[in-house]
Amino acid sequence: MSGEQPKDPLIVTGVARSGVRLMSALLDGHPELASGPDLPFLITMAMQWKEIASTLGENHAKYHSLGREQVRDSFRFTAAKLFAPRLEREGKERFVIQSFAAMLSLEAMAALFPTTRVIVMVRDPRAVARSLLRCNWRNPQDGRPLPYTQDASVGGRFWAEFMRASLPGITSLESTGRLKIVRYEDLCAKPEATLTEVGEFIGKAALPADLRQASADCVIASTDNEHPPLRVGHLDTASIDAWKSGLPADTVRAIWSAAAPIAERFGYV
Amino acid sequence: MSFQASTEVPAPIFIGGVPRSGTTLLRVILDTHPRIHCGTELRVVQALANLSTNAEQSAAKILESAYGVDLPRLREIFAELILEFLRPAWQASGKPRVAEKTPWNLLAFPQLHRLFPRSPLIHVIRDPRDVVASRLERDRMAASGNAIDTVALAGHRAREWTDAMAIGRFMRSNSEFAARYFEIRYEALVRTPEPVLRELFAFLEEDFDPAVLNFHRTQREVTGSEEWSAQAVQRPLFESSIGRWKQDLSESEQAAVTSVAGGTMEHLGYAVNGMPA
Repeated sequence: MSGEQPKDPLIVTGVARSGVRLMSALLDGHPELASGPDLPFLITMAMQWKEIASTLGENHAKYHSLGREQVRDSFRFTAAKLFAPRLEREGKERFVIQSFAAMLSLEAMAALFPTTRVIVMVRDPRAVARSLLRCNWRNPQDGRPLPYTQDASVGGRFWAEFMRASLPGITSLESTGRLKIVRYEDLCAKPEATLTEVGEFIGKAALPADLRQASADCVIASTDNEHPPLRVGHLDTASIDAWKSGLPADTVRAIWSAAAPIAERFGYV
Repeated sequence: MSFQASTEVPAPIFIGGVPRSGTTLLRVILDTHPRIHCGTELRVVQALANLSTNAEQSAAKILESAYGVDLPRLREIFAELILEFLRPAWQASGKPRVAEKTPWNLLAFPQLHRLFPRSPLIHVIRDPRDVVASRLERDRMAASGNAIDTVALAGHRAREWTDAMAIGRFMRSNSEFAARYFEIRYEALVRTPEPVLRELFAFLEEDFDPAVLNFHRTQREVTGSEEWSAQAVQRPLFESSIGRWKQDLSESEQAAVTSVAGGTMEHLGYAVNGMPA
C-alpha cells in the first residue's frame, strides 16, 4: 500500500425524522462537500472490520505481514473508492455519509475512519413520533406497516430505545471533540448561527453563504419514495411545535414518559 | 493504491471444503509449487465475499444511480479489498500466483466467481463419516471433559457436510461456474497423489512439479501453528485416516451421519453400507 491516505468522510446521523437528510442536503450544497443516499452496508463493513481486527489481528500480523492499520486502511480505501466517482464528477473533495444506523455503531465508524467528524441530529421525541406517522415504512418480511409509523406512543418508545442504545457511543466520541450534537430545532430557528458552528466543527467556515445558496426554492426528492420530500427552501420554525396541535394529550404524555430521561439531556422540556 | 478501476484484477486460486477434509494438505502441496504461494488461513474471504453480496443486494441500484459505481466496478472494489489481505505475504514470497485456503471459502464460491471470474475454485471432498469422526475428536477436545451429545453432534456435522455439498452441485450445474470449479477427493489424493495432482495442475495451467509430492520436507518452517492439521502435513502422505470412522464412530454416530448424508454420499460414490469409495 502506498503512503496515499483517503480523505475520511464526514458522518451525519440521528434517529429517523430528526433532520439527518436535511443536514446532509445542506452540506451537499457546500462547494467542497458531497452527500449521497444512505448505504447501510457501510455499517456492516465497519463492524466486519472491527471483528476481523479483534479476532484475527494477531494471526494476520504473524503469518500474513498485515498490520492493524494496514487492514483498517484497506477498508477505508474501499469506502473511498465508492465515493470517488461522485466526488470526481462534482469536483468536490470530501464525502458526507448520511446514515441512521451509524448511530448504533458510532465507535466502530469513528475507529474505521480515524479523521472523521460526526454530526448527530437530535429532535424533540414528540416531534419525531408525530413525523414518523407520515412515513409509509413497512416490514420487508411481511409487508405490514412498522408499528412506530402507526402509533405515536410506539414512536416515542422507538426514539427512547434508539437514543439509549446510541448514548455510549455519543458520549465517548463527544469527549474526544469528534462529535457534535445539532438540535433540529436550532437548525430551523437560527440556521445561520447553527451552520456557522457546524462549519467551524468540520473546518468549512463558509456554510452560511452556502445555506443561502441551498435555500433556493428546491425540493429534494425522497431516495426511496417512502420518505416525505425535503423542502430545503423552507427552513423555518413551523415544524418545531407542530406536535403540540397534532398529537392527543395522552399520547404526548406517553411519549414523554418513555423519552424524558434522555430528552432532557438534550435540553427538551 | 488507486481509486480508479484497475485494468486487470489478479485471479487468486481459492481452496475450500468442509473442515477436516484435507484442505490444509492441499494448501501445503500448492505452496510447495515453485509458482504458487499459499500461506496459512486468512479466514476473511467468506466474510468479505458476503459483505460484497450484502452491498449488491442492498444498494446496487443506488450505487449506480447516485454514486456512479456500477455492478462491475462494485465487484472490482471488493475483489481489491480481498487482494489487499493476500498481497503482503504473496509479494514477499516472490511467486507469480497466490492461493488462499480457508475451509469455509467453499460457501462463498459463487460470489467469489463473480468477484474473480478467472479464479480457479478448488473443492476438497472427503467421506463425511471420516469428516465427522475427525470433527468430533475436536469437539470432544473443545468440551474439555464436559459431556456432549455426540450422536446429535454427529448429525449436525453431517448436515453441515450435506449443505456444503449443495454448493458443489450448484457449481457443477452452471456451465459458467463449472469451467472454473474443480473437485478433489481426499481419498484419491492420498492414495494416488501424482495423477490427481497432475490433473489439478493442468486445470491450474501450471506444470506438474514432482517436488510438490515432497511438501513435508519444505513446509516445517511456514506451517501456521493455528491450523488444525499442522502436524499431519509435516510427514509424507498417509492413508490411515481413510475409513477411520469404522473405529472412531459408534454405531449410533454412524447411523446419525448416514441418516442425514446418505443420499448425498451415494450421489458422490461413497458406499453407505460398505467400504468408502
